[in-house]
Amino acid sequence: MYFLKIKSKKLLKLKYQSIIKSTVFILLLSSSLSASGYTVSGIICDSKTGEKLPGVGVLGGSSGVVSNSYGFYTATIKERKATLNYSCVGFEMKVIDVDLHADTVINVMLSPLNISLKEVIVTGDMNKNISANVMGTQRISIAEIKRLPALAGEVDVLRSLQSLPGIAVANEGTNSFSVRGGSYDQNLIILDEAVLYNPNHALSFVSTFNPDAVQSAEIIKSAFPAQYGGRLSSIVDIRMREGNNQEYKVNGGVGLISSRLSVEGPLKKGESSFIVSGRYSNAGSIANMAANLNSIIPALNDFKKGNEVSFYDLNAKTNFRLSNYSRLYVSAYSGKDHFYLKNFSDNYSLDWGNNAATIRLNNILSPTIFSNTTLAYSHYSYSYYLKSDVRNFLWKANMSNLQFKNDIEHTLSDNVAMKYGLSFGYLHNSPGTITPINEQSVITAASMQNRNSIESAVYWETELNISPILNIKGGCRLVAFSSLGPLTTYTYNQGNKQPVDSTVYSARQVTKTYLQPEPRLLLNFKLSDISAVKLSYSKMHQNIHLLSNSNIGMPTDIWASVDRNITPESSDQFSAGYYHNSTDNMFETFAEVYYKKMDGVIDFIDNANVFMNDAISSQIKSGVAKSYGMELFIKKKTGKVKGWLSYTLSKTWNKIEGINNNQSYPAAYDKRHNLKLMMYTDLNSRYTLSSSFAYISGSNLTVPLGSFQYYGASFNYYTERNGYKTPPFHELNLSLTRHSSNKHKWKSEWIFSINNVYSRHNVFSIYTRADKYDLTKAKTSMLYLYGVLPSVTYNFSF
Amino acid sequence: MNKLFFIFISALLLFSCTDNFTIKTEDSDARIVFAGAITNEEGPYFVRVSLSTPSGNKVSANTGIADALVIISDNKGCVDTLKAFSPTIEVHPKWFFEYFTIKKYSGVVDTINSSSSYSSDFRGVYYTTKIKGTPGNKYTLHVKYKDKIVMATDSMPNVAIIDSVKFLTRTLSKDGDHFLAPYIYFKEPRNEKNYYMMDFGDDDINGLISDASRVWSFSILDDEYLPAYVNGLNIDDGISPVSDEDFYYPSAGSMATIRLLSLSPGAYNFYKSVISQFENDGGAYTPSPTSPPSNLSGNALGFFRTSAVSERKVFVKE
Repeated sequence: MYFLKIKSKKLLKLKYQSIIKSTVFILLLSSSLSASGYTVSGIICDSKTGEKLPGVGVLGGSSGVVSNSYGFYTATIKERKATLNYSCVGFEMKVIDVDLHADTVINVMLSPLNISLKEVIVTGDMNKNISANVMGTQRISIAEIKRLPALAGEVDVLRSLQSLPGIAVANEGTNSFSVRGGSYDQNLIILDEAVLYNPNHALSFVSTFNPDAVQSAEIIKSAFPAQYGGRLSSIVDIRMREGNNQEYKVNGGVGLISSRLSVEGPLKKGESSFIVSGRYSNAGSIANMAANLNSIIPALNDFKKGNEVSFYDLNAKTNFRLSNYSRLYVSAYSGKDHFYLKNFSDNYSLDWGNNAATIRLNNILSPTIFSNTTLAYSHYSYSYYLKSDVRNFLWKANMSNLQFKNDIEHTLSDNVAMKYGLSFGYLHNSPGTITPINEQSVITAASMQNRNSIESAVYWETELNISPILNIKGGCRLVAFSSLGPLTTYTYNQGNKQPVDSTVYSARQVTKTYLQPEPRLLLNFKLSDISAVKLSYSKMHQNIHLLSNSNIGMPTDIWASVDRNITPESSDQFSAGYYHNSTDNMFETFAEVYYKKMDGVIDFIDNANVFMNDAISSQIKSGVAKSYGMELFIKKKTGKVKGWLSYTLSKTWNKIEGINNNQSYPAAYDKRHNLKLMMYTDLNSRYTLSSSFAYISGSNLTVPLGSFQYYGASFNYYTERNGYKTPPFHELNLSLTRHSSNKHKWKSEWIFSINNVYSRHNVFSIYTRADKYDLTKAKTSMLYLYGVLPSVTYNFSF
Repeated sequence: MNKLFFIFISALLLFSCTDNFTIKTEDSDARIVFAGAITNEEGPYFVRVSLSTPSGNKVSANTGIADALVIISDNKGCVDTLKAFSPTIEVHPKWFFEYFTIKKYSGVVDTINSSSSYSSDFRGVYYTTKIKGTPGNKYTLHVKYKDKIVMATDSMPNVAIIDSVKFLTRTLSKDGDHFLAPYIYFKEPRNEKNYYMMDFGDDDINGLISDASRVWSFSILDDEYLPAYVNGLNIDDGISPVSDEDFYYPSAGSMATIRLLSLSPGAYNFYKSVISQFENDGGAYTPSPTSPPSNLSGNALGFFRTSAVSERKVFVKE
C-alpha cells in the first residue's frame, strides 16, 4: 500500500513535469511562429439592431477567425491585397476588398436574412466548424429556437438544447438535463456571465430564459476552453440581447403558459441601447379555472381549487460606448416562482428565485489585444412552507456568489493567439433555517451552519497553427478553492452515521484548501478545407454539489459546498471527432466519441435524512461515474427544407461504495439511444411549417420487486437502485407559423402547434401507491404528461 | 371563444394522465416477512411470520407460515420458544359480536373482538409464554423456516411519562365535522436522543392478521425539535401514514387508551421508511424509493421491535 502511494505521488510529479515541459515547448514554438503581416480588427454588428454578433466567421487571405462573444475580431493578413468574407447563419454574407498598408480597423454591419426572400445563396459559415479550434461545442440562435415546435407553444432555450447530441433528461418534458452522463448539477449555466443556480420555473417544465431577451445559447461539452471551469459536464453560455440601438421596438406575445413584453431602443442612436423584457405566468389560475369547470367536464374531476402557481422573469440590459475602444455593459435578471399546486401536494408550498447582475467593461487595448473585465453577482433563494397544523414551519435557504474576472484575448500573429486571465469569487451558502410560523407550532427555530468559500483561478491558453494541417490549442487552469470558517466540522466513525468528534473553526479561518490544476489540450488536423479530425482532453473540477434526491430535482434541493468532509468532484474527458461539410456547405456533419470518468460524484445512502441535517456528509457517499458514447449530427443549413438530425449512443453508470450494495448501477438518465430529427421549411412568405421527432430509450427507475404485509398494511420492497428500464419515449410534434405581411409596422405571428401528434402515452413517472382505506392494496400506475396537445401562441412587434 | 379554447388547452396540459402499469421483473422469489413487538406491558406478545408477494402476482399471496421455529431471548438469560396461535372464534350469545380469548401471563383471560369476522386467519401468528419486556434489555429473535434462518436484535429504550391528556375540539376542513383530538403533555429528557410513537393502544393481534384492513392511526416523532416540556401534542402530530383529515379518533363519551411508546433508532427509521411509502411513491419528484431498512437478517422483510409504553386510559370529553 505504502509503495503504491509513493508510486502514485511519483506519477503525479511526472504528470506535472510533463505539463510544464509541454507548456515551455508551446511558448517557444509560439515565438518562432510569429510572422509578419497587418492586423485587421473590429466589431461586427447586426445592421438592423446594432447588436454585436458573436461567432461570425471572418476569412481573409489564408487566415480565418471567429468573432468573440462581444462581436470583436482580429485577424492577421499576410497579403497586402486581400478579400475579407464575413459570414454568419441568418445573415447575408459581406465581402470587403482591402489594400493594407498598416494595421486597420474595419467595423462591419451584417444584414439579417429576410425570411420572405425565398432563397438566398449563403455559403454557410465558411467552414468555421472545420477551422475553429473547438469541439463538442454548439451554438443555437434564438431565431432557430423559435422556428422549432415548442412544448405547449412555450419557446424554451434549455429544452431546445436537448435537440443536440449528448444531452439527455431523466424525465422527458423537463429541463433538468444531463450532458454526456453527468448529473444535472454539473452544468454551469451562465446568463451574461452570472451563474444561475436554478434555471427552471414550475418544477423544471419551463426554463428561466425569456426567449425575447435572449440572443443565443452555446453549449460546450468537451475540449473546454481554459477560461471556463467550475462544473464537470458542460458550460451553457446564454447571452442576453443588447437592445436595438437604431430604433425603438416593442414586442411581446401571449401563450398558453406565459405572456411576454419587451421594450428596447437606443439611448443614443447607433451608440448605446437598452432592453427591458418581462414574462409572467399564472398557471395556478388555469388550474383553478379547470377546477371550476369540473362540474361540466368530468375529465377535470381531479382538479382542486385554491392553487397558486406563478412565476415571472425580468431582464434588463444596457450598454454605453465609453470611447472608440471601450464599451460598458450592465445587465440584470430577476426571476421568482411560487408553487402551490394541490394536485401535487396540498400540504406545502415552494418559493424560489434567482437574481443576477453583471457589469462588464470591454477594452480594445490594441488591435490585437481585447480585454473584458466582469463583475458578476448572483443570488439564489429557496424556501418551503409546511402548512401542517402544529408542525408548521418555514424553511429557507439561499446562496450568493460575487465574482470578479478579467479575460484577455491576445493575437500575436496569424499563427499564434493567446487567452489568459484570472478570476476571484466569493461564495456564501446558507443551507437552511427553520422558523415556526405561529405560536401553536411545536417546532423550535433552528438553523444549519453557513458555508463561506473563496474560489480563485488563473488560466492561460495558446492556439498555434503549427502547419496548414495542424492546429494545437493547449492551456491550463489552476483553481484554488478554500472553505472558510466560522464552521464546526464533524468526524464520523467508520460505517457509523453519527458524528463522534468535531473541530471548531473561527471566522475567516481556512478549514481546507484544494488546489486543482486543470490541463486542457485540443489537436485539430485539417484534412482539407471541408473536413477535419480533432482530438481533445479536458480536466475539470467542481466544488459545489446539488444534493438532489430525485430524478428531476426539486427547487428545494440543497447546494452543498466542498469542505473537509465533502470532497470535490473531478472529471477527465477524452474525445475525438470527425467533421465534414459537403454540397457547398449545405450539409454540416460531425461524429464525436467520448470517454468521461468522473470522480467524487455523490449519491444518497438509502433512506437518507437530508432535512436540516448539519452532518449532511454522513448521508451521502461519493464514488466514480463513467460514461462513454458516440454522437452523430447532420445539419442541413440551406435549401427549401432546413433542420438537423442528432443521434447519441451512450452508456453511463455509477459505482459508489455504500450504495446499491457496492455494485455499479445505471444513472436514471442513462439512455442508450437518443434520436432527434428537427425540420422546418418556409412554405411561402407567410407560412413556416416545422416538425420534430424524438426516439429515446427509457430511463432507469427503482420499482417494486414485490409487496409484503406488516401489521395489516401492504408495503413494497424494491429493485436495486435504478434497476428497471421504462419503455422508450417517442413523439412527433408539428407547428405552423403564420407571419403577418411585412408591409405594416405592426408585425405579428400566430403559432399553431400540436405536440405528440399520434398520442403516445410516454412514461413520465411510475409510482406505486397504497390505498389509504384498504392498506392491503397497492396500485402501480404510470403517469404520462399529455396525449395529443394542441396549443396556440400569438406574438407581435412594432 | 378564444378564452374557452385557451382554458381547454390549458386543462389538457395540466391534466396529467395515468394508466395502470404492470412491472415485470425477473426476481420472483417470495421472502420471509416478520412483524411483532415486545413491550414492557404484560405478555403474551404476538408476532407473525409470513411470505411476501412478488410483483406481477395479481393476487396477494401473503401466506402465513404456520410451521416456523420462532425463538425470542433476552440478555438476562431468558429463552422463549413461541407457540403457534390458533384461537377459537365464538359469537357472543347476547351481543352477537365475534370474539376470541387470550390468557395473560398472570392468568387473567382477556376477551378480544375479532376485527375481521369470518375470514380471520391466524396462520403464522405466534405468542410468547414467559419472556418479559424491560426497558434497557436487549432482545434477540431467531426464526427458522425450511433452510432459511432469520435473526434480529433490538434494545428497548426508556420512554417519557405522559403527565396528562386533554381533549380539544377540532374541525375538519373537508366537511366541517367536529371531533375531539387527544393532546398529551410530557417532560422530554433533553439530555438523551429519543424517538417516540403515539397511538391509541389498539391490540396487536388483529393488526397482525393477514387480511386485516385498517387505517394506521398513529404517528412517530424524533425529539430533535421538541422543547424540554411538551405542552400539548396531538397524537397525529408526528409523522403519520394518514393525513390529519383521515386520522381515526375515539368517539366522545367512550374510554380511550392514549399511549406514548419508545422506539429504537432502527425502529424509528423503519417506520419512517414505511410511512414514507404512503407519500413517496417512487414518482419523478420523490427520492429513489428503497426497501424499508429492516433489522432482520437473511434478506427478510419487516421489523422486530421493542418498545417501552407510557399509557393513559381516559374518558373522551372536552
